[in-house]
Amino acid sequence: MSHPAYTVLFALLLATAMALVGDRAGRQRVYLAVYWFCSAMASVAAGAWIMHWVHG
Amino acid sequence: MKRPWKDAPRPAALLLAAWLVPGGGYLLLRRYRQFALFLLVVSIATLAGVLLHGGNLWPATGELQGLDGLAKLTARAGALAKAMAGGPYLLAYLAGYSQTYLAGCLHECGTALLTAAGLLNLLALADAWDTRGRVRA
Repeated sequence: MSHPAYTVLFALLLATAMALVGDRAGRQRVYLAVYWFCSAMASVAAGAWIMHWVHG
Repeated sequence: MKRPWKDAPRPAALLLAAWLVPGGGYLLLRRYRQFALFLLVVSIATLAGVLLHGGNLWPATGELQGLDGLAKLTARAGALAKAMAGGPYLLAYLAGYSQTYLAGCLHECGTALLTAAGLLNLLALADAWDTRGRVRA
């Protein structure tokens, strides 16, 4: 599995799980899932750039 | 708004069901959508971890030789986290899947997914426990 595909899978699983917990309306869960997915992808991108700058 | 529930499941039954069946706590609390989705999430994470050859066995003493105390503790904590996935983890083991700790270090993507499966199941367990407390009140 390629790293981008692995990253997307991980982010999807995490976003789904985080949206499922708690007592929320359906629409709120969707918004939360999107938020978590985007945050996870942004974190990976930021981490990748930091690693690039640190290691060259 | 969920109606108050008179017959909340017993704590031990909830914990056992929540560990053994991913989302099982939600099943006992009659939250079927959450149960189905958590079952799907944890099962997919475990299956992907197995397909990527993640390590699922408890680290042997020989494999941890030369490591300091904290590293050994971390390795064992990771193995415990993987076991928290419950049913999917047990099914994989019973189906003959076994990858040592060192093999898991080599296939770290799979190992990370197996660990995530366990932690996500633990999240579901904790939320089901919390939900039980809310519906009883």
